[in-house]
Amino acid sequence: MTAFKQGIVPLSACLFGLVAGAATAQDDELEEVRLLSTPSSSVSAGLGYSSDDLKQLGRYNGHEESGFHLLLDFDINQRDDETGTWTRVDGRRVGLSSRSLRYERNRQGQWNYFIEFDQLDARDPYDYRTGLRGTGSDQQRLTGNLRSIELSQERRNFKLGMGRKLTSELDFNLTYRHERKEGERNWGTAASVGSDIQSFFLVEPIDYRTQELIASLDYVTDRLQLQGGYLLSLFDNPTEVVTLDFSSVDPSASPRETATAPDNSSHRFYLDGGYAFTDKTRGSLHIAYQEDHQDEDFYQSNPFNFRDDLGGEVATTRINLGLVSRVLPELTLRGKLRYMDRDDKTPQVQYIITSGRVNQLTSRSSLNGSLDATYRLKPGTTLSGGLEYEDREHSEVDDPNMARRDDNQEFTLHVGARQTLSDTLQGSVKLLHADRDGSGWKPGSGIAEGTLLTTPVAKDFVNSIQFADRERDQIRLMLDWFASEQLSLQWLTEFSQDEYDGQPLGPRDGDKLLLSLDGAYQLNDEWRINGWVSWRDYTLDTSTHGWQDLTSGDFAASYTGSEQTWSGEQRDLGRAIGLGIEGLTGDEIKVGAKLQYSNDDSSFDMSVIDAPSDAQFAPAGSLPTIEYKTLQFRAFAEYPLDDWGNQGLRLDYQYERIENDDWTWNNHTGYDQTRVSQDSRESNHFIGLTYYYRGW
Amino acid sequence: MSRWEWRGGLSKVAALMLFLGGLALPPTVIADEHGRGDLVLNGDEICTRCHDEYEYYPVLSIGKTAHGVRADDRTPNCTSCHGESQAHLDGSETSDTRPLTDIRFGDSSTTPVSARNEACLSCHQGGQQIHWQIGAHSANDVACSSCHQLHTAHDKVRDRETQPEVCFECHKEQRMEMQKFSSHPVEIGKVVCADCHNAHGSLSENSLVRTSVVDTCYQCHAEKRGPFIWNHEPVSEDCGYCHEPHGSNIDGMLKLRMPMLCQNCHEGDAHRGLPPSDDGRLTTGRACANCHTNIHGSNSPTGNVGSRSLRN
Repeated sequence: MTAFKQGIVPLSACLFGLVAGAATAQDDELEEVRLLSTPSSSVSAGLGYSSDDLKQLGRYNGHEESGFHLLLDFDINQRDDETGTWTRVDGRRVGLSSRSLRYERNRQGQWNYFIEFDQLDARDPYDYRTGLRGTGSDQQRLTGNLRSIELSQERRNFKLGMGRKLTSELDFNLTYRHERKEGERNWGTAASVGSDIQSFFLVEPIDYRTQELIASLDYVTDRLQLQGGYLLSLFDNPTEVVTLDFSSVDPSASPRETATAPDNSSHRFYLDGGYAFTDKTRGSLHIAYQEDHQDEDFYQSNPFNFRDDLGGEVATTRINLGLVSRVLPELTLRGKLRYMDRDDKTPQVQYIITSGRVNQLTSRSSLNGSLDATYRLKPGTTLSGGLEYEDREHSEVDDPNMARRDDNQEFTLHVGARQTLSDTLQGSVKLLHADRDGSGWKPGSGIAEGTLLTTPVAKDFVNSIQFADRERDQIRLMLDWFASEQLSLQWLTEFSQDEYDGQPLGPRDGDKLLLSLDGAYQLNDEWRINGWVSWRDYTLDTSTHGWQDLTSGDFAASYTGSEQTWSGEQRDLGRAIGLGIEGLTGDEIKVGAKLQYSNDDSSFDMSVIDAPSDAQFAPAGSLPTIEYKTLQFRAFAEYPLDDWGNQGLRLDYQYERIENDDWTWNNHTGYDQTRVSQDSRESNHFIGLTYYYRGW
Repeated sequence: MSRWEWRGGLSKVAALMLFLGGLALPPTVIADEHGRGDLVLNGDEICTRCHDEYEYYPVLSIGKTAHGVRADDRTPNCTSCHGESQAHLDGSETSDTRPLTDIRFGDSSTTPVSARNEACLSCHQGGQQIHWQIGAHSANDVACSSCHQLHTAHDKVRDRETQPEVCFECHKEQRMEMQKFSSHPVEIGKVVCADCHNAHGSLSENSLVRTSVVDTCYQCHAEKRGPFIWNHEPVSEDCGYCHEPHGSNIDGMLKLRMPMLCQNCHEGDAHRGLPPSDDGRLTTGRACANCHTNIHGSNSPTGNVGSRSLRN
């Protein structure tokens, strides 16, 4: 349609020439050219109707309540061609709580400034029935009278920015962002009740402010490009602690205090650079130094070290280098080096009564280097290969309830090829093998360092997934078939397999398979269809053991019986399909429709590895499979009200449905009788009618 | 014959008929005789005497874009990107088909990707593109024009609401993950691919916009930054140990449900190694985090013994 009308440009000039002569035709043509090449604007306004109140489907999009919604979008673009000055005003979803607005003005190549507002309301997808009172405040009290509450959070973002070209080679840019996040979040705490520890429902009051300031200076020449900058990030939270009065459960208990996220700040200085040594060789550089601080006053002094704040300070240095060179016309080499050092300078002192239990530090470092080569064997055939090595040194954490290592090393090798198989068919394959190991295991607690850990009879045998010895093999196959000018298809296969080793318990192996087919077909000049289908299967086998006297319900002590060793296989199977069609009817009505469907199953099968006769529990065999389904159908029609399609009416229809039987949330009842539930099925019809005007 | 060539041919036939009728001149001839000059870009006259909006890939609408600002002396003309293309201008004496331009873009282009990208980088090497050549897309021969559309006012990949469609053309696993129960609000453009990844190349892992995974996440989740009295190591190392940022069916975008997630690292001693059950407080609701509250870190100064492991 667009091409047809745009084709009127020369043809209309010809026809007009029949009557008015060539000169007038030229004037008309130039006017048409002006319209076609001048920035245009659009506005659309109307009403939408949503059929249902939504918890899950309306989580972010502003359609959480049934009824009518104002639909308003605009995109105003004006340009002064004499000076190259743009004025842009953009509004999206203005009538909804997910609105965004932006005003921008710039004289291209000289200066610019903008202001943005963005809002995002997030609804908690669960229903809560609780005896908690004072939710949203820092004083909360548990009662026996249950009531229903809903939780949500609102983000309001303001962003300002400006830029100025100082010289032909030097640019200065400054942006400032202020975000306020308010609302309430599902939270909890644990407290002693009698001789046991019980969990209690809490609602975290959210009143966060995040500010970010970025100032940067760019220097750009033909060979050298530099960007140096400063980034300031500030986080403020006026709530320091939430106190729970649960005397309704335990009259003798003192209120339980739970700390909230403390204020913190971060300062980063950075330099990015690129330099073309020759036309064929280029270097890249990123250097950054960052300091993070956290020294918010404690809501009470620590009774053991008498400190009033943590005095937290972390300095992080990063140096990243890159070099790419076309050493031969057919051969390109890429080398990269990344170095990171995180130095936690926070004073380490005793914080709890147990001797030696000090605050935890997070110093660590890593070094990563890679070398890749791409060789163009012949036109249409490219070979690639590369090596990567990474060394990570971990934090020294006091008693982390897990076995750990001082460092890990990982070596990765990959090879690949891209081949034009015919005029219409292209294929690629990539193979990867990675091997990770590390230093000797250190027990988390209770076992002397250096003890040989060989059998699962004591603590600290879990093969922590990010520290474990691991071999990873991966293959990726891709085919692009341009069957004709109308039809294109793309096939993707990815398979990866992980084998873990090192400790007797923990992750043992895992694999992932992804299959995907995409297609697009141009039926004719006006109609186009596309579709895709994807299938993903992920599994992870683990094993662990427990040692627990369930009869007492005591989660902290009274261990009797023997340890039970068991294994579990986590499997996530996902299937998704998408179909779309868009075109133009003979009545010049633009129509389109899109359908998306996904179905995910999550299962966890358990089996016994070692079951002593006095073991006091046994795996249940398998957990109920959790199924999550989504269906979304969207359709639209645009009916033009003038011959040029500048104005018209647009009708939108959308049907959405989800089904979710996640029993881990649905009907969960806590010790304090707070019950969480979730609608297992939710659906909604939405219909919207808007008037649009485009093109002035 | 390609579609635009066919259409061009039709235009010529129509023009010839009008010419033969002696009623009017075809528009391209009008332009020449009246010295119409450049239409949209500086120096485009030689191109726009044939190419107009009546094309499979219309050209005049580039005037709606930043490239069409003639008051900015940095903006290109047709040959800046497509090459001088003398053979194309001269035409062929032996064939009806005109030789193509020196540099061509689009899926069927035989111009090497590096040459296509050089046309863009000759102006856009600074800023976000400083590290293009070392980045993942460059290494995989992705052309700028694979993602960007130049001759239109609406470049899909620069529109927050349509950008993911462009990225999903290659990143299909992420397309699936975005449909899951717990995901960022990508569909309405509130969080998009470019908020976390620099598609133009980065020296950071996974082409992140910030220097690390955690610094990228702290842009919006600064409350997790700490440092805290009781830190949880992965929070300052890699959020991806526990979270799947592209989406998951588990609340909080977790990779696995608790307690299985926690059991991947923590010792199986005592209750930590209990198998999950569908009626247990270790598995339902916030599961482990029912008690271990501030799992991202706690700044509790009370000195309570439990404040270290319970993090409340």
